[in-house]
Amino acid sequence: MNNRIRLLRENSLNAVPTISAERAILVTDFYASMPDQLPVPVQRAQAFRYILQHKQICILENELIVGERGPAPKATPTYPEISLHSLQDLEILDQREKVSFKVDEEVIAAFRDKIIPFWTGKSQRDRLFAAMSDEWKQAYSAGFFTEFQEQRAPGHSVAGKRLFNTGLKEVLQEIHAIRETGVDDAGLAELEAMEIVAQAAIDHAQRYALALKAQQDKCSNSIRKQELESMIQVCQNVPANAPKTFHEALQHYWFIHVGVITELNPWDSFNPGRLDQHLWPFYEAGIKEGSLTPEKASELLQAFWIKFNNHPAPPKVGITALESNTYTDFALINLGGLTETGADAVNELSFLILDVIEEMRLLQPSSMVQISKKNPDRFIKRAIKITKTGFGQPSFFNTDAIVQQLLRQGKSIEDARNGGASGCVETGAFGTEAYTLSGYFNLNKVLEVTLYGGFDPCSKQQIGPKTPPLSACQNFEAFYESFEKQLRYFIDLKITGNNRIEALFAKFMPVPFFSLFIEDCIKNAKDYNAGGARYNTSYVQGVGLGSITDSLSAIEKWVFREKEFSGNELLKALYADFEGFEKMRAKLIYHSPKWGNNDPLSDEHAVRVFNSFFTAVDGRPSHRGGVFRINMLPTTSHVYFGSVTAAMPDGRKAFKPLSEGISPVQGADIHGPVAVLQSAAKIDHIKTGGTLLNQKFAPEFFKTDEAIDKLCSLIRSYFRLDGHHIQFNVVDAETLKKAQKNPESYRDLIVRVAGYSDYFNDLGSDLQNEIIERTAHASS
Amino acid sequence: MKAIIFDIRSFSVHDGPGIRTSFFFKGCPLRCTWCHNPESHSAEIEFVCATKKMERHSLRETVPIGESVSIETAIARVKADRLFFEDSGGGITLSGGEPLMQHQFAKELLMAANALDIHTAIDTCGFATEKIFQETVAYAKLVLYDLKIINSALHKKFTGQDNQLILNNFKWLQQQNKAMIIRIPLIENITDTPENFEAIHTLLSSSKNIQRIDLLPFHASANQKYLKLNKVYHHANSPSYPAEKSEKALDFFHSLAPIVSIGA
Repeated sequence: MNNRIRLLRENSLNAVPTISAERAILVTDFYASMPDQLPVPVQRAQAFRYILQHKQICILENELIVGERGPAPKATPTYPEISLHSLQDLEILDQREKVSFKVDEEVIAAFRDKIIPFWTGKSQRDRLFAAMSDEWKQAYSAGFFTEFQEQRAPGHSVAGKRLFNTGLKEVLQEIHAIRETGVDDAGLAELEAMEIVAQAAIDHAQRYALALKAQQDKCSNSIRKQELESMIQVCQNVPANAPKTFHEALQHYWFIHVGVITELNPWDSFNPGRLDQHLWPFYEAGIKEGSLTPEKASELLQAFWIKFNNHPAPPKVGITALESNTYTDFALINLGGLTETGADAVNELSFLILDVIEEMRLLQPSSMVQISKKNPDRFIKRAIKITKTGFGQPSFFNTDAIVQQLLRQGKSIEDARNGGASGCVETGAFGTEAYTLSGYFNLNKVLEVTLYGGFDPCSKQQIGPKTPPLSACQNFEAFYESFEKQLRYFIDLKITGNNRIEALFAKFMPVPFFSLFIEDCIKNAKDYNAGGARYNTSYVQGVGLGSITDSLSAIEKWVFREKEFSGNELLKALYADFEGFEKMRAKLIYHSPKWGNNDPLSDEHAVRVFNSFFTAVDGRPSHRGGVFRINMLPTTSHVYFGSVTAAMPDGRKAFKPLSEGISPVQGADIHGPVAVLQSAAKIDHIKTGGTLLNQKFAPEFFKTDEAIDKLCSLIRSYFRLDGHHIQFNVVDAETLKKAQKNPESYRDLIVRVAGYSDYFNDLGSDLQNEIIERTAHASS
Repeated sequence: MKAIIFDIRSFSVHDGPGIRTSFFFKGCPLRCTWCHNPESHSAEIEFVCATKKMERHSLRETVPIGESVSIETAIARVKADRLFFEDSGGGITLSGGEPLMQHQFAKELLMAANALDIHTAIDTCGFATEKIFQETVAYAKLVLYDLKIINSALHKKFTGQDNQLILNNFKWLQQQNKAMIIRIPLIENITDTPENFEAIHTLLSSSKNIQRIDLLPFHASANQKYLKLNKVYHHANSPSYPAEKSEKALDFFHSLAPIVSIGA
């Protein structure tokens, strides 16, 4: 990287995340003086315009791509209309050891004097909790599930091709045209809102053009002066018009990105998606006519990367902080895969972007490669060589599985091929689908209360329906029947709650700006949050497949098949957290079938519990007119869910982390990676919207080209078995232990957590220990 | 038909090309003083004490080394792993111990794999009668062959057996033009003497079918295993083989095969 990029990158790395009150103050000012009787979408649109008109313009020294959400890098806004932070929250954010945000006196004063008095009782979070049933609240507090929309807006969706070749003026014309076709009042309000926000974003770019002009006037360096001139032209052209050059394409997307994450705080920020595909026409043309070189393209991409890294996820508190405790905001760059017509999509730019990923070595954006059977091995091997440097990126996704998943869900073949994975591992049709995650679901907690007949030993209450406890079950089938009954009960609670939440977002929190970029919101004159997109999917994310599988296998083996101990004795041991039951615990840990070893005695339970979960969720209607589906990923919720689940029959002690994704319980896979993949492939990935498999390798495994060949073929085999995703953690346990002891010397250490990478120092000690354990196991 | 096998490992990546499933047969006719696999010596199932650790607690248990595996089970395992062989150009490797000590089972398994078009390799020390050796090894596409000491008196001293059969079988492999990977353990003052290196060099120079040579430097890592099995380890206090000497050995052998590497 050149000197400019080095400095920008260093500044980004060194910037301390802070809370900025700017947006909260502006949105409060707007709502306080808002005219009455405006339809909600127009209110939201005007609020968006007000913020963009009044927020500070931030241009960093020697920048090429401009646009910051806050007044400075990592100055992070809050969204009081979604979730209002109390003074105590601010103190926690400021003081907490991990993922903290510094809060200064001025910010505290603004919250105390203006923001809190105005928004108390009026935030979406307040509405949401007020709309939930007592049973929902009980289950939520006990840790059966989390709720994604509790502090953040629905989002998760990804930009499609259209965003990159359409200017907002053209979007405005489309809105006019739709209005002419005759739409109802609600539609008219939404279209009016869309017009306001499109124009606001064009004007916002003009503010940047003016600010750049002011800089240019003061600039004495002739080279920078020229650079500023071309940046001014770029900002005058995009996002109003379709981008014409590589530079404009990046700036165009970035202005829209900043708009989406300023309008609200949608999950996973926003995401350019298939970057090597979207940028390819600009790259190819630029190289051909001589206006672009690979070096210049590289520099622009690096500048683009740094912009992502300047934008930590908005501050999370409470359970949301526990389930997703990271600065990462999950923009996941997709490379490779298939073209819309089904051809190999890997191009020169795919490789150039991989070089950028390797050189930037930044937490954000996250990156992945899509691998179809049509993509060359050379592409996989290049990606493995970056993974081996040990920062967990890029991860590997199976395009052919993703396409099948999307087809099963009813997408057209073109929309499916234009799709990919976002966030951690979530499948989506990019640019055409609103797919929101509704929350993590603690499968093990459901099993736990099934053991006690619906009674939760942690919160000490009858929380599920009354079913026979384990000690009263005559056989395994009877016990499993109770489990399914409990599962259906808690899934019903979750989905009923989510449908109410979807209704609240549709009514109170439309996102006209975000809606401009997901087809067919304009055509349907309907908001993204109200079901305007071509496809609408709501996911429930299952957590702890490995743990629950091992518990079920152990119950079947010891209590029912071999009758080594009774259900009652097992419950006593669990209740005592195995104190005094060490021999029993050794049997549970060391002599029971374990998921991840290609052992049919274990794997049949995994498949069964997966199918039960699938059946309970898949196809149920959502409020937005879409359906609920499942995927299997945890972010950091396996640690949180573990902390609310007592000892379990797999031998796990109370409150320890559960297994993550579809990975085996930490240390339980003793037959190597082939066996792990064989087990993992037994569940039907095509029925999901994504599964997460973490595979640990000691660094010495990546030493030779021959080893990399073998890893490449291992990925191919897993994908031939329809596996959805695999990621590698390549750091040895010794390094991690040293980092835990002397965090100061390991500030740059990035590890793979679950579906994303994070700074090791930013992880809680429980998660650090869990990763050390995983890693040590891989090296032994 | 059954065999005593002490481990079946998928994703075995050091025993031939691609991703392989290796069957480790229990029992070995040699007793190399440096052996790091004492659990492979006896052809019987053995029992050892193992400690299972669980946080503050540790429990002692008796666990078997080796189990009796039927040919059907072994073949089912080969079939199950087939896809991983196809994608990587891998297959199965019979190793040990010495697979030829249970040659009938070994032959059956190799034949079954051949019938499934799965690549076969056998890792052998070569100590078997010519008849058994030829009848079994004929069914392997690749042979991983150990060459330790060429001088027969010294071979007998350090491995417990004469090496005439080993050299005869090697000659047969040469005549058959069998694809081979040669493995040479680097043990200080035992296998790495100038005389022995010269003798191995001479032997290999006359071969055209050596695909690669793996030099396996001694690692001081087997003490615990010997203690657990209550066996005496002659190399309990030997240091690991010095890296610079491994490099020297690499220089010495490097011209004899397309790939010569330290470690497998």
